[in-house]
Amino acid sequence: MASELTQQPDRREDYDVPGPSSSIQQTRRPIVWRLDETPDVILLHILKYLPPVEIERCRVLCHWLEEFIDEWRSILPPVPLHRLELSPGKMRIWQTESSGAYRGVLWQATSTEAYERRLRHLRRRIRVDCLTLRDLDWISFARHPIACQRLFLYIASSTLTFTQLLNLLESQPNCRQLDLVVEGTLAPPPWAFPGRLGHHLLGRLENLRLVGPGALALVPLDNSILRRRQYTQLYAVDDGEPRVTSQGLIAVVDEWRHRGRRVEYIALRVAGDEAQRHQFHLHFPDAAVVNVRPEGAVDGHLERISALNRTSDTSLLAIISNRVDPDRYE
Amino acid sequence: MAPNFEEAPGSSKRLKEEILYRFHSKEGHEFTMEKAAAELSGVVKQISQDLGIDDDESIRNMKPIPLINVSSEAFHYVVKWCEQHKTMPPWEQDKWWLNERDEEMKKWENEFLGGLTSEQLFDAANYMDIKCLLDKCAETVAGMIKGKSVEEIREIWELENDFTPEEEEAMK
Repeated sequence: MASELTQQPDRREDYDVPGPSSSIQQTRRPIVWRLDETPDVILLHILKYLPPVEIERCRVLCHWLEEFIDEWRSILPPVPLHRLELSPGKMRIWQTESSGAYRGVLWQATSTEAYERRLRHLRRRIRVDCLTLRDLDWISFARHPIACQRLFLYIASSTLTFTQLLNLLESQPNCRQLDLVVEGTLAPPPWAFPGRLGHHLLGRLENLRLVGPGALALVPLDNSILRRRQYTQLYAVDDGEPRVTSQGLIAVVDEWRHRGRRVEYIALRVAGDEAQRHQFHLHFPDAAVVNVRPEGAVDGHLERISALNRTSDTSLLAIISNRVDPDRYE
Repeated sequence: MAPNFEEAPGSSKRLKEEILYRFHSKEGHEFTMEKAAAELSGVVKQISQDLGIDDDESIRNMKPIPLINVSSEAFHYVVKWCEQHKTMPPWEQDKWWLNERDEEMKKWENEFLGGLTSEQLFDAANYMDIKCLLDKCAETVAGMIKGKSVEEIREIWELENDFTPEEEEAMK
């Protein structure tokens, strides 16, 4: 701003003001006002012009700024994270750098209390795209749930009850994708559980991936659930008794396509020896054909992703994968 | 063509033709500001509305608006800013991407605020509710913070680190 006011001017022309025609020198003078004396509304205005990461940096400048930022937390933008991976005692944060590359930072807790404190700290300050939870202390996490757009759940050595899972999913109102990988089996859910899960939680998902018998026990993937849901992607690996039939697949895909939906692709994972002896064709009403042929062994399974005729407008099919009894194909 | 001195700023003829709001600064100095420029201020618009002033003659006859929190120095810069921006489209606070300025205006704004070292202009913009100036001031001050380390920011703003080592460790 201008030089110190040395005398009281009567006319505004008395001030020397830089303007379009002026040739002022860009000289930085020392700042003469104190940030801690700046009115709240002005300080908030300044903070809103800072990237969220820099707002967090301001928090650690001094106590009053920490308190100020925490007080106004609800109207300040959270730090966007590409991915947050939580596993017992560890957190790995993935951020997008200005170059577009992802950078991961690992943090290890020294105690359970520190881990929970960190969860509480992060919860208020971040916005997560992908959240990966791997065998967590689910009770601790439930106290400070972090919302995300895409949720990846890996359950192997931990115990996650169905009620906990239900509560976890209910704490994710904006989640559009769920990957549920359950190694081993889960106890059968209460009788009302699949219905509540299906109607209130899974119905809003766009992508659903279920891997492992525990996951399939949770979501009874059959022809009816296929037809009820509007998934963009649905992927399931089931080594148990098949519940999805070829007729079910055809009906779903047909319905999707008649609604004008662009279907990405369909993948059928077919189990072992039986599949090797057969070549399958799924015939769709408009003559589009999906070939399911046993090619390439992966972990004892055979997988083939086949596309519909790409010259048609609906070029690819949505993914539906299951162990499908070859004899049930037409 | 000979210049038309009668139309020059400050001339009696121009002053007669211009619609000017009058203001009293904190120190009691009287200033004037063109209608289009003054109406960039939410406060001016609100006062006019409250007093039922909706025609040019009423503005001419209006008593000076007292700005008890705005110094003469700050107000002088407010006038300069508003006159420079009086023909700009209305400032969109929420849709900030619509507030694109041309290069000449950006250069002018940057030069105008380049030496910002006092909060007086910021306070005045806030008090008078001049959103384009308030936002530009905030952007300028934020630019002094952006990309700097914690130590650098502390030094620039003379902030004392009053965290204990334990508190600092916990914040990492």
